[in-house]
Amino acid sequence: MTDRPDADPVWTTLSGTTIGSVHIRDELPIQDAVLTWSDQAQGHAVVAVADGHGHKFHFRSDTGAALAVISAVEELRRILPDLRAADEAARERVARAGAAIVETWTAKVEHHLTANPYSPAEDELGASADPLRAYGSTILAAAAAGDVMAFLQIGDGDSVLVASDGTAARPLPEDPDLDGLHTSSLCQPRPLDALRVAVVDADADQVALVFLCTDGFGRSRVDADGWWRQTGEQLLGFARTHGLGWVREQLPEWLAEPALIGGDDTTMALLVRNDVAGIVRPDLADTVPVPE
Amino acid sequence: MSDRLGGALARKPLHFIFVLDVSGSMMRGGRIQALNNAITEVLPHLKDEARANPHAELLVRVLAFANEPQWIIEAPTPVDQIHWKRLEAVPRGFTELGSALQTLSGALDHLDESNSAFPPAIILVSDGRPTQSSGVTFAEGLQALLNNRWGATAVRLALGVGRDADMHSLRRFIGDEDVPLLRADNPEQLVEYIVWASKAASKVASRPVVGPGSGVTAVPPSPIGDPIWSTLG
Repeated sequence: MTDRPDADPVWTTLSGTTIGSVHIRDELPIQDAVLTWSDQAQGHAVVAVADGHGHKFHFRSDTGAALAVISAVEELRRILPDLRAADEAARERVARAGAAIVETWTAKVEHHLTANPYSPAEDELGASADPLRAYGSTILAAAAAGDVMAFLQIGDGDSVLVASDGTAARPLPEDPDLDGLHTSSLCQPRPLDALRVAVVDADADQVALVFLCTDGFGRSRVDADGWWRQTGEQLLGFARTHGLGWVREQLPEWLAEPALIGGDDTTMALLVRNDVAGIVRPDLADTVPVPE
Repeated sequence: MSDRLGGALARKPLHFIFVLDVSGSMMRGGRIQALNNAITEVLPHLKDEARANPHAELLVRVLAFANEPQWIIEAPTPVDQIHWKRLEAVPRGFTELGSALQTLSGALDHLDESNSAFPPAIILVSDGRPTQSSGVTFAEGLQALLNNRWGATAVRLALGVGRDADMHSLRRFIGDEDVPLLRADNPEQLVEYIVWASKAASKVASRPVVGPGSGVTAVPPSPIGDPIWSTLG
Protein backbone atom coordinates (compact mmCIF):
# COMPACT_ATOMS: atom_id res chain seq x y z
CA MET A 1 0.00 0.00 0.00
CA THR A 2 1.11 3.52 -0.60
CA ASP A 3 0.99 6.37 1.79
CA ARG A 4 0.43 9.31 -0.52
CA PRO A 5 0.68 12.98 0.29
CA ASP A 6 -1.38 15.36 -1.83
CA ALA A 7 1.72 16.55 -3.67
CA ASP A 8 2.89 14.83 -6.84
CA PRO A 9 5.32 11.99 -6.20
CA VAL A 10 9.03 12.51 -6.61
CA TRP A 11 11.02 9.90 -8.51
CA THR A 12 14.51 8.74 -7.64
CA THR A 13 16.76 7.27 -10.32
CA LEU A 14 19.39 4.57 -9.88
CA SER A 15 21.51 2.92 -12.53
CA GLY A 16 24.47 0.68 -13.20
CA THR A 17 26.25 -0.98 -16.10
CA THR A 18 28.89 -3.73 -16.35
CA ILE A 19 30.91 -5.01 -19.27
CA GLY A 20 30.28 -8.61 -20.32
CA SER A 21 32.92 -11.31 -20.05
CA VAL A 22 32.80 -11.96 -23.81
CA HIS A 23 33.69 -8.33 -24.49
CA ILE A 24 36.53 -8.53 -21.99
CA ARG A 25 37.75 -11.71 -23.69
CA ASP A 26 37.54 -10.17 -27.15
CA GLU A 27 39.04 -6.86 -26.00
CA LEU A 28 35.93 -4.96 -27.04
CA PRO A 29 34.53 -1.90 -25.28
CA ILE A 30 31.30 -2.00 -23.31
CA GLN A 31 28.47 -1.51 -25.79
CA ASP A 32 25.64 -0.82 -23.35
CA ALA A 33 24.83 2.70 -22.25
CA VAL A 34 22.65 4.24 -19.56
CA LEU A 35 21.57 7.80 -18.76
CA THR A 36 19.25 9.12 -16.08
CA TRP A 37 17.87 12.56 -15.29
CA SER A 38 15.54 13.86 -12.63
CA ASP A 39 14.07 17.13 -11.44
CA GLN A 40 13.02 16.75 -7.84
CA ALA A 41 11.14 20.03 -7.75
CA GLN A 42 8.92 19.11 -10.70
CA GLY A 43 8.56 15.42 -9.87
CA HIS A 44 10.00 14.58 -13.27
CA ALA A 45 12.49 11.85 -14.14
CA VAL A 46 13.75 9.98 -17.19
CA VAL A 47 15.84 6.82 -17.44
CA ALA A 48 17.19 5.24 -20.62
CA VAL A 49 19.29 2.18 -21.39
CA ALA A 50 20.63 0.99 -24.73
CA ASP A 51 22.38 -2.12 -25.97
CA GLY A 52 24.77 -1.76 -28.90
CA HIS A 53 24.72 -4.86 -31.05
CA GLY A 54 28.37 -5.88 -30.93
CA HIS A 55 28.30 -7.90 -34.14
CA LYS A 56 31.12 -7.16 -36.60
CA PHE A 57 28.76 -5.14 -38.81
CA HIS A 58 27.92 -2.87 -35.86
CA PHE A 59 31.48 -1.90 -35.00
CA ARG A 60 30.50 1.52 -33.63
CA SER A 61 27.58 0.31 -31.58
CA ASP A 62 29.16 1.55 -28.35
CA THR A 63 28.84 5.06 -29.77
CA GLY A 64 25.39 4.23 -31.14
CA ALA A 65 24.19 3.15 -27.70
CA ALA A 66 25.58 6.27 -26.03
CA LEU A 67 23.88 8.49 -28.61
CA ALA A 68 20.65 6.51 -28.16
CA VAL A 69 20.35 7.19 -24.42
CA ILE A 70 21.25 10.86 -24.86
CA SER A 71 18.62 11.18 -27.60
CA ALA A 72 15.99 9.45 -25.48
CA VAL A 73 16.56 11.60 -22.41
CA GLU A 74 16.59 14.77 -24.49
CA GLU A 75 13.33 14.01 -26.27
CA LEU A 76 11.45 12.62 -23.28
CA ARG A 77 12.41 15.61 -21.16
CA ARG A 78 10.75 17.81 -23.77
CA ILE A 79 7.38 16.10 -23.48
CA LEU A 80 7.15 15.75 -19.69
CA PRO A 81 5.09 18.96 -19.26
CA ASP A 82 2.60 17.57 -21.81
CA LEU A 83 1.96 14.36 -19.85
CA ARG A 84 -1.03 15.39 -17.74
CA ALA A 85 -3.03 12.17 -17.82
CA ALA A 86 -2.39 8.57 -18.87
CA ASP A 87 -4.72 8.77 -21.83
CA GLU A 88 -4.63 8.26 -25.59
CA ALA A 89 -3.38 11.81 -26.16
CA ALA A 90 -0.41 11.07 -23.91
CA ARG A 91 0.24 7.78 -25.71
CA GLU A 92 0.29 9.59 -29.04
CA ARG A 93 2.62 12.20 -27.58
CA VAL A 94 5.00 9.43 -26.45
CA ALA A 95 4.82 7.82 -29.90
CA ARG A 96 5.78 11.19 -31.44
CA ALA A 97 8.65 11.37 -28.94
CA GLY A 98 9.73 7.94 -30.14
CA ALA A 99 9.85 9.24 -33.70
CA ALA A 100 11.81 12.25 -32.48
CA ILE A 101 14.28 9.96 -30.70
CA VAL A 102 14.90 8.06 -33.93
CA GLU A 103 15.34 11.36 -35.80
CA THR A 104 17.66 12.81 -33.16
CA TRP A 105 19.71 9.62 -32.94
CA THR A 106 20.07 9.51 -36.71
CA ALA A 107 21.20 13.14 -36.79
CA LYS A 108 23.73 12.54 -34.00
CA VAL A 109 25.07 9.45 -35.77
CA GLU A 110 25.44 11.39 -39.01
CA HIS A 111 27.23 14.16 -37.15
CA HIS A 112 29.59 11.64 -35.57
CA LEU A 113 30.16 9.98 -38.92
CA THR A 114 31.00 13.30 -40.57
CA ALA A 115 33.64 13.87 -37.92
CA ASN A 116 34.82 10.25 -38.05
CA PRO A 117 34.47 8.93 -41.62
CA TYR A 118 34.64 5.20 -42.25
CA SER A 119 38.08 3.86 -43.09
CA PRO A 120 38.66 1.85 -46.28
CA ALA A 121 38.75 -1.32 -44.16
CA GLU A 122 35.40 -0.43 -42.58
CA ASP A 123 33.99 0.33 -46.01
CA GLU A 124 34.93 -3.18 -47.09
CA LEU A 125 32.28 -4.33 -44.61
CA GLY A 126 29.75 -2.23 -46.52
CA ALA A 127 29.66 0.50 -43.87
CA SER A 128 29.04 3.40 -46.27
CA ALA A 129 26.33 1.54 -48.16
CA ASP A 130 24.29 1.44 -44.94
CA PRO A 131 25.84 4.21 -42.85
CA LEU A 132 23.65 3.76 -39.75
CA ARG A 133 24.32 0.03 -39.46
CA ALA A 134 27.69 0.36 -37.71
CA TYR A 135 26.01 2.27 -34.88
CA GLY A 136 23.16 -0.23 -34.37
CA SER A 137 21.59 -0.23 -30.93
CA THR A 138 18.41 -0.87 -29.04
CA ILE A 139 16.75 1.77 -26.86
CA LEU A 140 14.56 1.43 -23.77
CA ALA A 141 13.32 4.46 -21.87
CA ALA A 142 10.86 5.37 -19.15
CA ALA A 143 9.75 8.80 -18.01
CA ALA A 144 7.69 9.98 -15.06
CA ALA A 145 5.79 13.24 -14.77
CA GLY A 146 4.16 12.98 -11.38
CA ASP A 147 1.68 10.14 -11.66
CA VAL A 148 1.92 9.79 -15.44
CA MET A 149 4.51 7.34 -16.70
CA ALA A 150 5.67 6.84 -20.25
CA PHE A 151 7.51 3.84 -21.68
CA LEU A 152 9.06 3.32 -25.07
CA GLN A 153 11.32 0.66 -26.53
CA ILE A 154 12.90 -0.48 -29.79
CA GLY A 155 14.59 -3.89 -29.64
CA ASP A 156 15.22 -6.41 -26.91
CA GLY A 157 15.62 -5.89 -23.19
CA ASP A 158 13.01 -5.59 -20.47
CA SER A 159 10.82 -2.75 -19.21
CA VAL A 160 9.07 -3.72 -15.97
CA LEU A 161 6.91 -1.87 -13.49
CA VAL A 162 6.36 -3.06 -9.93
CA ALA A 163 3.26 -2.28 -7.90
CA SER A 164 3.42 -1.49 -4.21
CA ASP A 165 2.34 -5.07 -3.40
CA GLY A 166 5.40 -6.40 -5.26
CA THR A 167 3.52 -7.55 -8.34
CA ALA A 168 5.52 -6.99 -11.54
CA ALA A 169 4.10 -6.31 -14.99
CA ARG A 170 5.40 -5.51 -18.44
CA PRO A 171 3.71 -2.35 -19.65
CA LEU A 172 4.76 -2.62 -23.29
CA PRO A 173 3.36 -4.94 -25.96
CA GLU A 174 5.57 -7.78 -27.20
CA ASP A 175 7.75 -7.32 -30.27
CA PRO A 176 6.97 -10.31 -32.53
CA ASP A 177 10.32 -9.96 -34.28
CA LEU A 178 12.32 -10.79 -31.16
CA ASP A 179 13.34 -14.46 -31.28
CA GLY A 180 16.26 -14.47 -28.87
CA LEU A 181 18.78 -14.46 -31.71
CA HIS A 182 17.92 -11.25 -33.51
CA THR A 183 16.79 -7.87 -32.28
CA SER A 184 14.94 -4.90 -33.69
CA SER A 185 17.18 -1.87 -33.90
CA LEU A 186 17.44 1.87 -34.30
CA CYS A 187 19.56 1.21 -37.38
CA GLN A 188 17.06 -0.94 -39.27
CA PRO A 189 14.97 0.37 -42.14
CA ARG A 190 11.78 1.91 -40.70
CA PRO A 191 12.76 1.57 -37.01
CA LEU A 192 9.42 3.07 -36.02
CA ASP A 193 7.80 -0.20 -37.16
CA ALA A 194 9.42 -1.72 -34.07
CA LEU A 195 8.61 1.15 -31.71
CA ARG A 196 6.54 0.10 -28.71
CA VAL A 197 5.00 2.72 -26.42
CA ALA A 198 2.78 2.76 -23.37
CA VAL A 199 1.50 5.24 -20.80
CA VAL A 200 0.58 4.23 -17.26
CA ASP A 201 -1.27 5.94 -14.43
CA ALA A 202 1.17 5.34 -11.59
CA ASP A 203 -1.44 6.23 -8.99
CA ALA A 204 -4.16 3.94 -10.30
CA ASP A 205 -1.70 1.09 -10.88
CA GLN A 206 0.01 1.68 -7.52
CA VAL A 207 3.43 1.79 -9.21
CA ALA A 208 6.22 1.70 -6.65
CA LEU A 209 9.17 1.35 -8.99
CA VAL A 210 10.18 0.69 -12.56
CA PHE A 211 13.27 -1.05 -13.86
CA LEU A 212 14.70 -1.23 -17.34
CA CYS A 213 17.45 -3.66 -18.22
CA THR A 214 19.36 -4.82 -21.28
CA ASP A 215 19.01 -8.45 -22.25
CA GLY A 216 22.29 -9.30 -20.55
CA PHE A 217 20.55 -9.26 -17.19
CA GLY A 218 17.85 -11.81 -17.94
CA ARG A 219 19.12 -14.09 -20.70
CA SER A 220 21.05 -16.48 -18.48
CA ARG A 221 18.43 -16.90 -15.79
CA VAL A 222 17.41 -20.44 -14.92
CA ASP A 223 13.83 -19.24 -14.56
CA ALA A 224 13.62 -17.84 -18.09
CA ASP A 225 9.97 -16.88 -17.75
CA GLY A 226 9.77 -15.61 -14.19
CA TRP A 227 13.08 -13.90 -13.43
CA TRP A 228 11.68 -10.42 -14.12
CA ARG A 229 8.80 -10.91 -11.68
CA GLN A 230 11.24 -12.08 -9.03
CA THR A 231 13.55 -9.16 -9.78
CA GLY A 232 10.74 -6.65 -9.35
CA GLU A 233 9.53 -8.16 -6.11
CA GLN A 234 13.08 -8.31 -4.76
CA LEU A 235 13.94 -4.74 -5.71
CA LEU A 236 10.91 -3.43 -3.87
CA GLY A 237 11.61 -5.69 -0.88
CA PHE A 238 15.26 -4.63 -0.73
CA ALA A 239 14.34 -0.95 -1.00
CA ARG A 240 11.98 -1.37 1.94
CA THR A 241 14.17 -3.52 4.14
CA HIS A 242 17.61 -2.08 3.40
CA GLY A 243 16.96 1.35 1.88
CA LEU A 244 17.82 2.74 -1.51
CA GLY A 245 21.37 3.49 -0.46
CA TRP A 246 21.96 -0.22 0.00
CA VAL A 247 20.27 -1.00 -3.31
CA ARG A 248 22.58 1.45 -5.05
CA GLU A 249 25.62 -0.15 -3.39
CA GLN A 250 24.47 -3.62 -4.46
CA LEU A 251 23.75 -2.77 -8.11
CA PRO A 252 27.32 -3.31 -9.40
CA GLU A 253 27.45 -6.77 -7.81
CA TRP A 254 23.98 -7.67 -9.10
CA LEU A 255 25.04 -6.74 -12.61
CA ALA A 256 28.50 -8.32 -12.44
CA GLU A 257 27.28 -11.88 -12.04
CA PRO A 258 25.07 -12.06 -15.16
CA ALA A 259 27.75 -10.15 -17.10
CA LEU A 260 30.25 -12.85 -16.17
CA ILE A 261 28.05 -15.90 -16.56
CA GLY A 262 25.97 -14.65 -19.49
CA GLY A 263 28.91 -12.94 -21.20
CA ASP A 264 26.96 -9.90 -22.40
CA ASP A 265 27.09 -6.31 -21.14
CA THR A 266 24.50 -5.87 -18.42
CA THR A 267 22.74 -2.63 -17.57
CA MET A 268 19.86 -1.62 -15.34
CA ALA A 269 18.14 1.66 -14.55
CA LEU A 270 15.44 2.21 -11.92
CA LEU A 271 12.78 4.79 -11.17
CA VAL A 272 11.60 4.59 -7.57
CA ARG A 273 8.80 6.72 -6.20
CA ASN A 274 9.35 8.56 -2.96
CA ASP A 275 6.02 8.04 -1.29
CA VAL A 276 5.73 4.26 -1.32
CA ALA A 277 5.36 3.14 2.24
CA GLY A 278 8.47 1.73 3.79
CA ILE A 279 11.06 2.93 1.29
CA VAL A 280 13.95 4.73 2.91
CA ARG A 281 14.81 7.46 0.48
CA PRO A 282 18.01 9.42 0.92
CA ASP A 283 18.72 11.96 -1.77
CA LEU A 284 20.04 9.71 -4.54
CA ALA A 285 18.90 11.53 -7.64
CA ASP A 286 21.38 10.95 -10.46
CA THR A 287 21.24 14.17 -12.40
CA VAL A 288 23.06 14.52 -15.67
CA PRO A 289 23.00 17.88 -17.41
CA VAL A 290 21.60 17.51 -20.89
CA PRO A 291 21.93 20.28 -23.48
CA GLU A 292 18.67 22.15 -23.92
CA MET B 1 14.94 -13.32 0.75
CA SER B 2 18.20 -14.15 -1.07
CA ASP B 3 20.44 -11.17 -1.74
CA ARG B 4 20.99 -12.36 -5.34
CA LEU B 5 18.79 -10.27 -7.60
CA GLY B 6 16.79 -12.07 -10.29
CA GLY B 7 17.35 -15.64 -9.21
CA ALA B 8 19.82 -18.32 -10.23
CA LEU B 9 21.96 -18.05 -13.34
CA ALA B 10 23.17 -20.81 -15.61
CA ARG B 11 25.64 -20.85 -18.45
CA LYS B 12 23.89 -21.18 -21.76
CA PRO B 13 24.68 -24.24 -23.84
CA LEU B 14 26.87 -23.80 -26.91
CA HIS B 15 26.33 -26.89 -29.02
CA PHE B 16 29.21 -28.01 -31.21
CA ILE B 17 28.19 -30.59 -33.79
CA PHE B 18 30.72 -32.33 -36.04
CA VAL B 19 29.25 -33.94 -39.16
CA LEU B 20 31.90 -36.29 -40.51
CA ASP B 21 32.10 -38.15 -43.81
CA VAL B 22 33.13 -41.81 -43.35
CA SER B 23 32.29 -42.91 -46.90
CA GLY B 24 34.45 -45.42 -48.78
CA SER B 25 36.59 -42.74 -50.38
CA MET B 26 37.80 -41.69 -46.92
CA MET B 27 39.84 -44.92 -46.89
CA ARG B 28 42.12 -43.48 -49.59
CA GLY B 29 45.37 -41.75 -48.79
CA GLY B 30 45.06 -42.10 -45.02
CA ARG B 31 42.13 -39.67 -44.89
CA ILE B 32 40.15 -41.45 -42.19
CA GLN B 33 43.29 -41.73 -40.05
CA ALA B 34 43.91 -38.04 -40.59
CA LEU B 35 40.31 -37.24 -39.64
CA ASN B 36 40.62 -39.26 -36.43
CA ASN B 37 43.90 -37.56 -35.64
CA ALA B 38 42.31 -34.18 -36.31
CA ILE B 39 39.42 -34.84 -33.91
CA THR B 40 41.85 -36.15 -31.29
CA GLU B 41 43.95 -33.03 -31.69
CA VAL B 42 41.03 -30.63 -31.68
CA LEU B 43 39.70 -31.83 -28.31
CA PRO B 44 42.37 -30.06 -26.21
CA HIS B 45 41.73 -26.91 -28.23
CA LEU B 46 38.02 -27.21 -27.53
CA LYS B 47 38.82 -27.56 -23.84
CA ASP B 48 40.78 -24.32 -24.10
CA GLU B 49 37.82 -22.71 -25.85
CA ALA B 50 35.53 -23.93 -23.10
CA ARG B 51 37.81 -22.30 -20.53
CA ALA B 52 37.92 -19.10 -22.60
CA ASN B 53 34.13 -18.98 -22.71
CA PRO B 54 33.05 -18.92 -19.06
CA HIS B 55 29.61 -17.79 -20.18
CA ALA B 56 28.96 -20.86 -22.34
CA GLU B 57 28.64 -24.56 -21.60
CA LEU B 58 30.38 -26.13 -24.58
CA LEU B 59 28.69 -29.40 -25.52
CA VAL B 60 29.88 -31.68 -28.33
CA ARG B 61 28.03 -34.10 -30.58
CA VAL B 62 29.36 -36.11 -33.51
CA LEU B 63 27.34 -37.42 -36.46
CA ALA B 64 29.10 -39.68 -38.97
CA PHE B 65 27.61 -40.54 -42.34
CA ALA B 66 28.24 -42.95 -45.21
CA ASN B 67 25.32 -45.10 -46.43
CA GLU B 68 23.33 -43.70 -43.54
CA PRO B 69 23.85 -41.25 -40.70
CA GLN B 70 25.01 -42.61 -37.37
CA TRP B 71 25.42 -40.70 -34.13
CA ILE B 72 28.88 -41.35 -32.71
CA ILE B 73 28.20 -39.01 -29.80
CA GLU B 74 24.45 -38.45 -29.66
CA ALA B 75 23.97 -36.82 -26.29
CA PRO B 76 25.38 -33.31 -25.96
CA THR B 77 28.57 -34.02 -24.01
CA PRO B 78 30.91 -31.64 -22.17
CA VAL B 79 34.19 -31.61 -24.05
CA ASP B 80 36.22 -32.77 -21.05
CA GLN B 81 34.11 -35.94 -20.86
CA ILE B 82 34.77 -37.05 -24.44
CA HIS B 83 36.92 -40.11 -25.02
CA TRP B 84 37.38 -40.35 -28.76
CA LYS B 85 37.04 -43.81 -30.30
CA ARG B 86 38.54 -43.93 -33.75
CA LEU B 87 36.06 -43.91 -36.61
CA GLU B 88 36.27 -46.48 -39.38
CA ALA B 89 35.39 -45.63 -42.96
CA VAL B 90 32.66 -47.78 -44.53
CA PRO B 91 34.07 -49.80 -47.43
CA ARG B 92 32.26 -48.78 -50.63
CA GLY B 93 30.09 -46.55 -48.45
CA PHE B 94 28.15 -43.77 -50.14
CA THR B 95 28.12 -40.09 -49.19
CA GLU B 96 24.56 -39.67 -47.90
CA LEU B 97 24.98 -36.09 -46.79
CA GLY B 98 21.33 -35.19 -47.44
CA SER B 99 20.17 -37.91 -45.09
CA ALA B 100 22.73 -36.80 -42.51
CA LEU B 101 21.50 -33.19 -42.63
CA GLN B 102 17.92 -34.38 -42.27
CA THR B 103 18.91 -36.40 -39.18
CA LEU B 104 20.75 -33.37 -37.85
CA SER B 105 17.75 -31.08 -38.32
CA GLY B 106 15.60 -33.59 -36.44
CA ALA B 107 18.05 -33.49 -33.53
CA LEU B 108 18.03 -29.70 -33.53
CA ASP B 109 14.24 -29.74 -33.05
CA HIS B 110 14.88 -30.75 -29.45
CA LEU B 111 17.88 -28.52 -28.86
CA ASP B 112 16.39 -25.80 -26.70
CA GLU B 113 12.79 -24.77 -26.53
CA SER B 114 13.58 -21.45 -24.92
CA ASN B 115 15.27 -18.44 -26.47
CA SER B 116 18.25 -18.74 -24.18
CA ALA B 117 20.71 -20.99 -26.04
CA PHE B 118 23.46 -19.76 -28.30
CA PRO B 119 23.19 -20.62 -31.97
CA PRO B 120 24.90 -24.00 -32.46
CA ALA B 121 28.12 -24.45 -34.39
CA ILE B 122 28.08 -27.14 -37.09
CA ILE B 123 31.33 -28.27 -38.69
CA LEU B 124 30.98 -30.48 -41.78
CA VAL B 125 33.91 -32.48 -43.17
CA SER B 126 33.47 -34.32 -46.49
CA ASP B 127 35.64 -35.63 -49.29
CA GLY B 128 33.11 -36.38 -52.01
CA ARG B 129 30.00 -35.50 -53.93
CA PRO B 130 26.73 -36.15 -52.04
CA THR B 131 24.87 -39.28 -53.14
CA GLN B 132 21.16 -39.98 -52.74
CA SER B 133 20.78 -43.74 -52.49
CA SER B 134 18.66 -43.24 -49.37
CA GLY B 135 16.18 -41.17 -51.38
CA VAL B 136 17.09 -37.93 -49.65
CA THR B 137 18.95 -35.47 -51.85
CA PHE B 138 21.52 -33.05 -50.53
CA ALA B 139 19.18 -30.16 -51.40
CA GLU B 140 16.33 -31.73 -49.42
CA GLY B 141 18.56 -32.37 -46.43
CA LEU B 142 19.94 -28.85 -46.51
CA GLN B 143 16.45 -27.39 -46.81
CA ALA B 144 15.31 -29.43 -43.81
CA LEU B 145 18.21 -28.00 -41.85
CA LEU B 146 17.51 -24.43 -42.95
CA ASN B 147 13.82 -24.83 -42.16
CA ASN B 148 14.84 -25.48 -38.57
CA ARG B 149 15.25 -22.38 -36.42
CA TRP B 150 18.52 -23.55 -34.94
CA GLY B 151 19.81 -24.94 -38.22
CA ALA B 152 19.17 -21.65 -39.98
CA THR B 153 20.90 -19.59 -37.31
CA ALA B 154 23.77 -22.01 -36.71
CA VAL B 155 27.33 -21.03 -37.44
CA ARG B 156 27.97 -23.42 -40.33
CA LEU B 157 31.52 -24.23 -41.39
CA ALA B 158 32.67 -26.84 -43.88
CA LEU B 159 35.95 -28.43 -44.85
CA GLY B 160 36.59 -30.29 -48.08
CA VAL B 161 39.07 -33.15 -48.12
CA GLY B 162 41.03 -33.76 -51.32
CA ARG B 163 40.24 -32.89 -54.89
CA ASP B 164 36.97 -34.83 -55.10
CA ALA B 165 35.29 -32.81 -52.39
CA ASP B 166 32.16 -31.14 -53.75
CA MET B 167 33.05 -27.57 -52.88
CA HIS B 168 29.85 -26.26 -54.47
CA SER B 169 27.68 -28.28 -52.08
CA LEU B 170 29.87 -27.33 -49.14
CA ARG B 171 29.51 -23.66 -50.08
CA ARG B 172 25.73 -24.07 -50.17
CA PHE B 173 25.88 -25.67 -46.74
CA ILE B 174 27.81 -22.68 -45.35
CA GLY B 175 25.46 -20.20 -46.99
CA ASP B 176 27.40 -17.09 -46.01
CA GLU B 177 29.73 -16.04 -48.85
CA ASP B 178 31.98 -14.23 -46.38
CA VAL B 179 32.85 -17.44 -44.54
CA PRO B 180 35.99 -19.16 -45.84
CA LEU B 181 35.54 -22.60 -47.39
CA LEU B 182 38.71 -24.59 -46.92
CA ARG B 183 39.98 -27.71 -48.67
CA ALA B 184 42.57 -29.86 -46.94
CA ASP B 185 45.05 -31.57 -49.21
CA ASN B 186 47.09 -33.38 -46.58
CA PRO B 187 46.73 -34.61 -42.98
CA GLU B 188 48.48 -31.59 -41.47
CA GLN B 189 46.08 -29.22 -43.22
CA LEU B 190 43.07 -31.21 -42.06
CA VAL B 191 44.18 -30.98 -38.44
CA GLU B 192 44.94 -27.28 -38.73
CA TYR B 193 41.69 -26.47 -40.51
CA ILE B 194 39.49 -28.36 -38.04
CA VAL B 195 41.23 -26.60 -35.15
CA TRP B 196 40.73 -23.25 -36.90
CA ALA B 197 37.07 -23.97 -37.65
CA SER B 198 36.41 -25.02 -34.06
CA LYS B 199 37.97 -21.86 -32.65
CA ALA B 200 36.26 -19.60 -35.19
CA ALA B 201 32.89 -21.23 -34.57
CA SER B 202 33.12 -20.93 -30.79
CA LYS B 203 34.01 -17.24 -31.03
CA VAL B 204 31.07 -16.49 -33.30
CA ALA B 205 28.45 -18.76 -31.85
CA SER B 206 28.78 -17.17 -28.44
CA ARG B 207 27.95 -13.68 -29.72
CA PRO B 208 24.48 -12.38 -30.41
CA VAL B 209 23.59 -12.12 -34.08
CA VAL B 210 22.01 -9.03 -35.55
CA GLY B 211 21.11 -8.98 -39.19
CA PRO B 212 22.52 -11.23 -41.89
CA GLY B 213 25.88 -12.94 -41.92
CA SER B 214 27.52 -15.40 -39.59
CA GLY B 215 30.09 -13.02 -38.19
CA VAL B 216 33.03 -15.35 -38.83
CA THR B 217 36.01 -13.02 -38.87
CA ALA B 218 38.91 -15.34 -38.03
CA VAL B 219 41.45 -15.50 -40.82
CA PRO B 220 41.95 -19.10 -41.93
CA PRO B 221 45.41 -20.63 -41.81
CA SER B 222 47.51 -20.71 -44.97
CA PRO B 223 47.99 -24.12 -46.62
CA ILE B 224 50.96 -26.10 -45.34
CA GLY B 225 52.72 -29.19 -46.66
CA ASP B 226 52.33 -30.91 -50.02
CA PRO B 227 48.89 -31.37 -51.60
CA ILE B 228 49.10 -35.17 -51.47
CA TRP B 229 45.33 -35.83 -51.50
CA SER B 230 44.88 -33.78 -54.66
CA THR B 231 47.67 -35.50 -56.47
CA LEU B 232 46.79 -39.01 -55.28
CA GLY B 233 43.05 -38.53 -55.86
